[in-house]
Amino acid sequence: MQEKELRILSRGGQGAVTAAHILVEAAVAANLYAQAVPSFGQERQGAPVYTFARISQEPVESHTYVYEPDIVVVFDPFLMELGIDPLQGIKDHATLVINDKKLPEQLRGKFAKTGIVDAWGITHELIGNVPPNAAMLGAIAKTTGLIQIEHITQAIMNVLGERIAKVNAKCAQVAYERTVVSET
Amino acid sequence: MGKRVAISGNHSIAEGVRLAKVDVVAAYPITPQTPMVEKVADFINQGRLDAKYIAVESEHSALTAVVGASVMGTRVFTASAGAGLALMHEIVGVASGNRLPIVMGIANRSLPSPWSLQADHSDSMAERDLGWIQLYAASCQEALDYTLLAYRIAEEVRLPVMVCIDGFFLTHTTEAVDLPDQADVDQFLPAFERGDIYLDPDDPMTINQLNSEATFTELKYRHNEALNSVVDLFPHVAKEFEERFGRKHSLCTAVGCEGADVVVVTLGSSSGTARKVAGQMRADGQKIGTLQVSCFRPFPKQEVIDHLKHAKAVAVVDRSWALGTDGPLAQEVKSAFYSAGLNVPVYNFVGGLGGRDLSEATVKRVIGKALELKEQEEQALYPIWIDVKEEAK
Repeated sequence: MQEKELRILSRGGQGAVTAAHILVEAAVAANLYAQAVPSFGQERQGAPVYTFARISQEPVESHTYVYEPDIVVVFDPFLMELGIDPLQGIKDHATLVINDKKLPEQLRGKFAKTGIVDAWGITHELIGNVPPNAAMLGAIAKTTGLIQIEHITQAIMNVLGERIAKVNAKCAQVAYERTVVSET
Repeated sequence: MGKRVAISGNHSIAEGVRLAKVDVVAAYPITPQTPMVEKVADFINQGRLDAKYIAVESEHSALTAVVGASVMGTRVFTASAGAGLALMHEIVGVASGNRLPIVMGIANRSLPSPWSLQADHSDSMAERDLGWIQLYAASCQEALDYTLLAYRIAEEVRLPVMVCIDGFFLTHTTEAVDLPDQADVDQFLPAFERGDIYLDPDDPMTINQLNSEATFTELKYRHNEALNSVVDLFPHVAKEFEERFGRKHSLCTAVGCEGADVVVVTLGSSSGTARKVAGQMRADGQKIGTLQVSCFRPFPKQEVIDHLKHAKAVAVVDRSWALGTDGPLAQEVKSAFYSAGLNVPVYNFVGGLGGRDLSEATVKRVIGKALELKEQEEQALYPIWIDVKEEAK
């Protein structure tokens, strides 16, 4: 496997930084190398947040943001209304993982592979009004096939506090099952 | 043997502190160092580190407290960043002048002004000539390993060490890190032994007293001799580290330098980025090398000369806003070259200031500009600001 670079588009408070950390934990459990790079600034809840990750069979050398992602993860499709473009810099044959009920019109036919998940719906159904990050992790596992869902749920159990770990792991599992993956 | 975990650079240094069985910690939180000292406090709270944590009211007090604790014969840790390190400035010289083996984690953050929470090396560079050893890590694994090397070297030469990691690009970046077993660390790092300077009511001595011109120069001379001895000591300690933990560390790490058209010289987290870019360019048939300088103080002049002497040009990237002259890394490289009588063009590039990403594209621009200058046989007297926006010019 060549190194895969991810760009995660979210808002402050949606848990993308924690999700990226959990992704690295899961990758390590899967005997891979990985890296999560948050782009911190002076943050506010609701403001756009870019988070980056790399997954590789070799130790990751680059310590920069990701400008040409293999995989784009959209936690919040309404970010596109702010002019944030999930297509920016994507590599050929890129993969999209998006939290939505259906694929937005402007993204149709642009990605080689898409995974669509109603992460808010699933999270609301299983937990309540909390960040959709666990569900998005399940969708990433299903769509990309880079990390097994068992490693994701185990990483959630390791990283999150006991009180919330189990229900979040369940959330990832259900999102994994319900993510609709299509290839063009 | 050990285990692989997913942790940040801040957490990696904290693990090093735990494994080193530090006795006393005093620190004042400051972004982006805060999670480092929070993690150390967690370890103490969980009973995983048997240490005294002194909560202080400022960075000046934090370093002063560990100076006191070190003189009392304990292994100590503190950490800071940016303006916090600047507030320690007075005591930075006290710690090294009294030959105290303090280890300090630095989460590199730009000095004000303008205010920034984010990475560059202007904070630690402002302290570079005060007689501390300075190590700059390029990954979370190096952050942990350098912390262990730091205690070992500090206690052998009786000098303090700054372990520097770039704010956010290392402090808040999570990576796979191999965590050694405690038993192996105990073998590598023996129990703390106090040096010649100590406070003991049964054996009183005056320390840090006023010195006249009769002794000042000699004390500073010995301080300098001890600091420079690290260039010879480091490889021996690193070899022992490699035998025990299987990971190789060097004063500086060269890849593809022999006969390179351009060698890119870096400090800190951009080193891996430069290696990746240069590796891709070599695969395309271009002769591009990299040199990561890990130990900035003492500056390993001979090693740098040996690695760079057969390069056709050298591009030094400074992530510091040293104004009015070359960046500190370029000053060192040029000085070493002149001492060795080398006539290789050295171009200085300033970039990645105040948290600006030193991206792969920026590294490519550095290489492209260096090749162009070499081709045109041009010398650049002052640094080239490689990632400045046109609108500022």
